[in-house]
This record gives sequence, structure tokens and C-alpha cells, in this order.
Amino acid sequence: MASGWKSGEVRGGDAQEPGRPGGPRRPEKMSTAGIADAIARARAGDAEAWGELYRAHAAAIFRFCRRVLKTREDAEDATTDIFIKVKEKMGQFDAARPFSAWLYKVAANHCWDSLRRRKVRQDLETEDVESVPLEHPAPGQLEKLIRERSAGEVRAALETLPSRARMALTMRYYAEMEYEEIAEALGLRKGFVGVVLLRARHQLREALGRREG
Amino acid sequence: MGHIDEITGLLYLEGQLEEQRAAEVARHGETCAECRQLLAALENETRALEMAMREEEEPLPASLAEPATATPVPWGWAAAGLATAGTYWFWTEWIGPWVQTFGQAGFGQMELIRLLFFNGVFWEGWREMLTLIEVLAGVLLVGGTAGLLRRMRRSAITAGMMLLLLGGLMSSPPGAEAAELRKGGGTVVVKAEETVKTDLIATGESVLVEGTVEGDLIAFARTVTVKGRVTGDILGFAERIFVRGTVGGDVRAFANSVEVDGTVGKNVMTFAEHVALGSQSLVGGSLMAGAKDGSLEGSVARDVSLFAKEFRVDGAVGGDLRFDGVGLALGPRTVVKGKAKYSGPKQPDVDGAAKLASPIQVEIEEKDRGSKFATWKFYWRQALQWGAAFLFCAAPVLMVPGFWRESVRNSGRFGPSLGIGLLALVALPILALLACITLVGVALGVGALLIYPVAAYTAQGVVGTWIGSRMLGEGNTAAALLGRLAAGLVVVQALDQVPFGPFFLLYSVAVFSWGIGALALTSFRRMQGEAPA
Repeated sequence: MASGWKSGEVRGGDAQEPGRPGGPRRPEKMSTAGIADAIARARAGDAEAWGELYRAHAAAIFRFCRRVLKTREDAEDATTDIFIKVKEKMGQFDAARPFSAWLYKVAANHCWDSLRRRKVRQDLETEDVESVPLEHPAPGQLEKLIRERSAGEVRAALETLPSRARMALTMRYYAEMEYEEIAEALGLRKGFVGVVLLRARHQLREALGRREG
Repeated sequence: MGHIDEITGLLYLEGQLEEQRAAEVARHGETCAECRQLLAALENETRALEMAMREEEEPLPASLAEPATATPVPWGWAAAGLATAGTYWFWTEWIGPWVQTFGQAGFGQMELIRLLFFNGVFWEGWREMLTLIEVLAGVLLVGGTAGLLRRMRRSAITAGMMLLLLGGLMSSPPGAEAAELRKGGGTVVVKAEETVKTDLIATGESVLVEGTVEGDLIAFARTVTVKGRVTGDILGFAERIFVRGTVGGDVRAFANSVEVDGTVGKNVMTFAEHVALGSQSLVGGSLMAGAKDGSLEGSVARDVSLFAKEFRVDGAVGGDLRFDGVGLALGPRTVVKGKAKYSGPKQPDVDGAAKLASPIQVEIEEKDRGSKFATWKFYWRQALQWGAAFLFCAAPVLMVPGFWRESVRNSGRFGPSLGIGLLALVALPILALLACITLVGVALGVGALLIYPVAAYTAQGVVGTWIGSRMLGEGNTAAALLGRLAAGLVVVQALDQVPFGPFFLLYSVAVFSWGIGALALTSFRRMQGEAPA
């Protein structure tokens, strides 16, 4: 039997920060004060400060793009374009909010636009999010499926998912974006984000199951 | 409460439930082993997902090590200057003279555009709006609308709308002015006593006009013979074209062999292996002919422009006579009222009895390609050519940098690019000509043929950027791409000057195919919506 969950670990309430015990934090190598300082200088046109911000976040954004887009080349291009956009929009950044959260938001919008432009038809607009089956799974089977898979296998399965599923899972479990942000980026009502995530998980399980077969 | 369903469990773990509902779920989880197991499994799944996603399994690519800069490079101004000068040169050296020559052949100013796009039988109502600015504005409008629609709607809807629009444009104007279409496996004949009171489009093994066509004749056949009268123009694609009767307008003939021995009210323009204007021929306008060999024994009221290997003139030319080719012979009955000019490798053969208004100007072309390298003019021309090519390709780099980047990357896949490019090089003109045979296809086919040289020219830029990327390392921003384009074009043009005939041909075909292939591959992938594997 799985023993990871204890009732006290999860907080209820929409306004609160979602709890993910033990999960890694957002990839920031600079301190919060250092970032705020670099942002202020970058806004004033300091190229060195912009370089610092870029170097602190480029790898994280590249990996975000890598998870979402199909190829390494696309991810490279997208990373470049995202930082060009971010640099242009520095004036719009609300310094009261975390910089990385804003960065991921720009990245998510850019990648989603890019996927839409490329007409990846799989499930962009036609999928009925309300039609997802919400049956009770066999927890033991699910546990086994996840436990026996390496991170590489999970990533490989992830790559086979439809764009929206990849986007949703990456935004939530890589970039730790809020449900509101995910809903905004994907053009959904907030209430459907959980359903989209669950459906994406089902698809991931199916993909992992296929790989096993 | 009953068992927790999966979505409730997930929302609970993600902190998305209302406080009261979350408390209920928590209490239930403490007492129900099955639901506790579900929550644990979901949470483990979340952790597995986070771990898989956050693993730093591949390093940041070297090209992303430093932020991209969009600042213009220092040589930008120099390149812009050269590009502008190159464009001026390209226009004055190539486009201008051609426009003039075409103008003299009856394709002046808007005539060519009108012929290619609007002068068909289904565009009659459009004539009045034809000015260059209006046409350009129209193209921009359609392009802009398509772009906007693409952003707003899925492509299938856009494509459908554009097709509908195109279909509407094609189908609405004809009305009473529609052409008569005659198709026949054998011979299509307009009999001597017959009068076709509209334009005639005829396809068949052979087309024979003995009667009258009160309009244009557009003919696609093995043999086209006009013995009767055509009041408008003749546009003919055939193996052999004979004009023995009377044509009120222009004759535009693309054939293996073209013979005119009748009266043409306006101009004759022809591209053929063999061209002959017999002693009975009378051309009211000008003659422009591209041919392997030919002869002019009749009379042309205005200028004669010849691009031929061998040509014999033994008739009357009311205007200037210009020859560009190898062998020109002027017979004893030759009369040239304007200037006569020869450009080729040897002296023209001029009969003593030929009557020329002024002595023929002879420009002997240098055979030795290598000797050009010693002159500064050669390098200046190369620099200007580079500037023109750079400017031409800079536009797509700036407008669609992503597309350009992908095309350059596809250039790195030699096999598929070259293969597809060679296929396109051969197939596109054939398809375009086939499209011309159908009614709607005339504009479509000629349009495709017009796009062809543009694509071929762009191909040079794609290959250049790829070579530049190999020289300077990969670059992602538009400025970096422009830098690589600039450097690569130098190499592309330098190789183009290798003084060895067969190499030049092979090289040109290879560069064009390679670049077109890469462009086609990118377009195909974008249409498919699938990125390369």
C-alpha cells in the first residue's frame, strides 16, 4: 500500500498556495533581492543586468519549451523569442510578483501560440473537456505504473501526448503555474483546468501502459 | 460521505477545493483505506511527473548561452547602402531594359500584368481598375486579409474562405462575355463560313481556324493553324503554329516551330526553336523572338528584337533592329529604318545591298570568362549583385524569421531537400503548364510560373544563410540570420563565378534545388502541423 499521503499535508481553499510537499522549487539561481535589483537595472537599459537575468532563467525556460514543443530546435527558437519578448515587455512587469512566474506566463503564451500557429490539430479546440470520464481508478495499478517507470520513460510518454495535455501538465508540474494562469493561457474556464489535468494524466497512463505492452 | 472520485482527489491534493469540502475529504481519507490509497497514488504520480519534468537531462545549448541581441550590427548601414545600390543596378540593368523591350513588343507597362492575370476571358470587367498601384494594393489587401484570418481562425476555415473568394472572383465576371470553349480529341475546326462571336479557347490534337473569331484565340494543341481571321489576340501553346490569315491584335506564340505568313495588326512575341516570318508576313507592331534559328523575310513596322543562335533578316524593319546571339545575317532585301545593333561573339554577315539607316553597331562579347576577373567593374557588379540578393532575401528574414530559420535548418538535411527541390524544379513548370490548359488554370498556371523564379531566387538566400551558419555558428535572431545571409551569399556568388561551364550549370541547379527543397519542406511541415521528428 502506498504510504505517501497523510491528511495534514494538503490545505483546502482556493486562495491558498497549492501544497506540493517535497517538490523542487522554481529554478532560480539568483536571490529574490538580486533578481529585483537586476530587473531594475535591466529596465534602465543595463545590458549586464539583463545578461544576469537571462543566464539565471534561460535553462529553466529552455526546458519548459523542450517539454512542450516537439523538437529541440523548436525549443531553442522559442527560448530566444521568449526572452526577446520579455526584454521588450520589461516595462509591463509587476515587480510585486515573482519574476519567474511572469516569465513562465510569457513562455506558456508564446508556446501555445506557436502550437496553434502550427495547426497541431490533435485537440486544440475541438476537444470537449466536459466529456472526460471520471471513474474511480484502481489505485494499486496506478501506483505500480508510476513506481516502475524512470523519469526518462515518463518524459518519453509525455512527448506522445496531445499538445494541450503536454501544455497543461508542464505548466502545472514543471512551472508550478496557478490554475488561473493555466486557464488564461489555454483559453479555458478555471473550473476545467482540473479536468484537463486529469485527462492529461489518463492519457499519460495510457501512453505508459502502451510502452509497457 | 461516499468514496472520493478521482477529480475530487486531484483537486483536493492541488489545493483547489473549498475549505469545507477539503475538510470532508481529509476526514474521509483518514477513515477509508481505499480512498487513502487513491490519494497516495495520485500524489506519487504528481511527484513522479515533477521529477521527470524537472530533471536536467540535457544542457542548455551553446547557442542559448548568452542573450540574443536585436541591436543592428555595425555593417548594417554598409549592407543597406549596397543593397539599395544593388537594387537600383538590378532595375536599371535588367528590369528596365526588359520592361522597355516588352513594352515595344506590346506588353508595355500594365499590359504584361493585364495579360498574365486579368486579360483572360473571365476578367473583362476588371480592365478599368488596372494600374500598378491598384494591383499592388489588391495583392497586399488579399495577403493582409489572409494573414489576419489565419490569426483568427483555423487554417482550414481560412483556406476554405480564400478558395470560396477565389472561386467567386473567377466565376462572377464572365456573364455574357464568357469565352467559347472547344475541346476535341482530334481537330477543332472553325469552318470558313463560321464566325465565333466571342473569345475562343480551343484544345485538341490540332486547331484550325478557317473562319472568323471575333475575339481572342487561346489555343493548346499540337498544331495550330490560322487561315481565317482573328480580330483579337492569339495566345498559342503548341508544337507548330502557323499564322497565314489575319490577326487584329497580338500574336504570342510558344511553340517548337512558329511560322507567320499573314497579317498581324499589332505585335508578335514568340519563343520557339524555329521562327519564320515569310515574305507575305506583315506585322503592324514589333517583333520579339527568342529562338534557336529563324528568318524574317516580310515586313515589321516597328522594332525587332531577336535572341537567337542564328537568324537571317531579309525583309523590312520600320524601327530598330537588335540582335543578341551568335550568327546574324542581313540579306540583300534588308531595310532597317532605325538603328541596327548586334551583340554576340562574331561579326554579323551584312550583304552589301542591305539598306541600313546607319552602320550596324557591333558589340563582340568576350569569350574568355576568366579575363573578367581582372577588371574592377567585375567586382563592382558582383558587389551590387550581392546587395540586390541580400535585400531580396532580407525581407523574408525580417518578416518571417521563424520560417527562415526552419528552412535554413532543413537545408542541413541535404538528401530530402535536394530530392524535393529537384522534383519541384522539374514538376512545377510542368504542372503549371498543365494548369494552363484548363480554363481557370491560365491565370493560376502563369501565376505559379511567376512565383517560380522568385522561389528560385529565395533559394539562393536559404542556402547562403546555411553556409553562413556553418561559417559563423548558428544564430537565432533576425540580425544574426541577416549576418549569416550576408556572409553566405558571398560564398554562393563566388562559387557561381568558377570559370567552368558544366560546373556552373550543375552548381546553379544544385543551389536552386537545395534551397527550394528546404523551403518546400518547411512549408509542407507547417501545413501538416507536424514538426520534424
